[in-house]
Amino acid sequence: MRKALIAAALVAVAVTIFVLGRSGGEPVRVTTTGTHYGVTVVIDKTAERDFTVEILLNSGDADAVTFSAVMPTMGHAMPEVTARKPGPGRFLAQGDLFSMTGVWQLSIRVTGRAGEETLGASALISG
Amino acid sequence: MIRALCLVLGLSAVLLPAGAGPAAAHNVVVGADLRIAQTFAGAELTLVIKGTEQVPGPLRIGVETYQAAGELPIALELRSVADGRTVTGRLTAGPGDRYTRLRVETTGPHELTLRAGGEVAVVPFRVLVDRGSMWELLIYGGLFAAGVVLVGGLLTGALSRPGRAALLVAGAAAGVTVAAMVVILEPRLPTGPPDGAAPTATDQQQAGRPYVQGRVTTLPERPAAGEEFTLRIDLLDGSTGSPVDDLTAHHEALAHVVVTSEDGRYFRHVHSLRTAPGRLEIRLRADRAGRYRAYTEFEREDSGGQLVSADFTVGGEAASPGTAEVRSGAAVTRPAVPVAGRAATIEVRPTGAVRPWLGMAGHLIVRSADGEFFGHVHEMSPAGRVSAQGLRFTYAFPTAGRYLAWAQYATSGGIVTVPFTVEVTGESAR
Repeated sequence: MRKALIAAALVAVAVTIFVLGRSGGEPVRVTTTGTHYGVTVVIDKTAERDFTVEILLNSGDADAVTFSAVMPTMGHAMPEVTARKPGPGRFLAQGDLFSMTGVWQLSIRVTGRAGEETLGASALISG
Repeated sequence: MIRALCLVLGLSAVLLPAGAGPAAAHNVVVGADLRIAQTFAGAELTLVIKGTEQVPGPLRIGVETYQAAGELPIALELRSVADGRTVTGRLTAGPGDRYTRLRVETTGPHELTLRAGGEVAVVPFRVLVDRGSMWELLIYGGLFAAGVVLVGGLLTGALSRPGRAALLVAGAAAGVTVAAMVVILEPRLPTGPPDGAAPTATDQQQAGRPYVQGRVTTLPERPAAGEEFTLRIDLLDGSTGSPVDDLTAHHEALAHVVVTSEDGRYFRHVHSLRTAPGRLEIRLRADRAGRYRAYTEFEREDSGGQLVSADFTVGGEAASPGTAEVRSGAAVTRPAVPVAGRAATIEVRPTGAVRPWLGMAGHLIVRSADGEFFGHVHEMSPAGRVSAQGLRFTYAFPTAGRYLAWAQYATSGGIVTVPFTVEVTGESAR
């Protein structure tokens, strides 16, 4: 009986560690599509107040992408960052892009042959 | 046994996502239809998007007409913001309620574009589908396990092994207990967000959102009397300067726009169209030159109501100042001369059977004579039961003076507006 209780407790601890471990570390993925362009945004926290935002083009032909974020609940706005283009259809923004955890409203301004379009999406940034 | 039960419930609490459901704004879910009033091509309509139980599946979209302007064909375009998939349809607004179905392939953010009479509105919303509660799994799992173990216990007892039989029966009792506990506690237990819900932070208190700055302009810049013009309201976040695009349906509208002339002879209570993020527009026609004031009431998500007001000028030949049309006996004020700061009751006898409009039986708009003060009061009768005295509004006028007032209600014949004035004294009668 005692062994069974110890085993149950160990399973509970393992599950808790697994759940807690998953909740903080996974990159956030969100997809948004406008009239001319469609993108998937992958947000990864690399260090304290340091993030990598990868913008993958799903549709449209984009030359340049800028990224910015505001947190509506707190009234915070972060500076707009011009994403570099490491490869076709792939853009990368890095730096202090989110000042705190919570829900952020993302603005992805895409410029290309079809003109300029700003795509929006919400993302939960956790600690 | 109690310890084991605590362990099961505690473990479940860890495994399930904690708490907060999705924000209520613009969510379309079974049992919570989205209703948004729109003034489209002169008609006063309420757009209704009904919740769906299954995605992919059909989404019922309809319009309820409160003030008809003949048959009004509306082109619909439903677009998934996530993947851009678009479906189109048509609907004709007219007397009664009209519905159509458009198929949605995914949950999550969508935009419904409506085009009618040269006007366009884009309504953002989210399609949500309940995932089904994990607590139900625990209930049915507990009962199933109890059934199996109970049968095992009976069989073991029949085979003359009382020790094992007792253990199995105890297991059955545990299963039944877990199921019964969850049944009792389920209304209070946290549930996971439905499919398609907006991300929410569980570790932050909702403390409202910043105030909104409104920029009100007209197109053309100086409209002429008698000619149609567009009133444009750009809403900007006071803290970030970004367009405010998180308006929630506030009394069944993204925004209630009331436009009055200085003298109060002109009155419109309309429901602007969202034409772009943070931008609301409404077409109007003012019959006389002069100064007008537009009051825009709205509510941001997770916040209270806000009011933005601004003046604009209609050009043309100046008309002589007039006074608001007063219909004798249309409204009864109790006391006859209200005292500033004290609640007064205004009774309005409707001319027909009242139909709920904007979620209420009636609306009372009040404005101070100089236009600086504005109030929007609701009739408080239970739904569909207007008292013998008619529509009753209770309101405390803040200061002494003359107020212009318009009571509004809907009948099957359209929206009725009853204008009147109220004189408020600063002292109570002795």
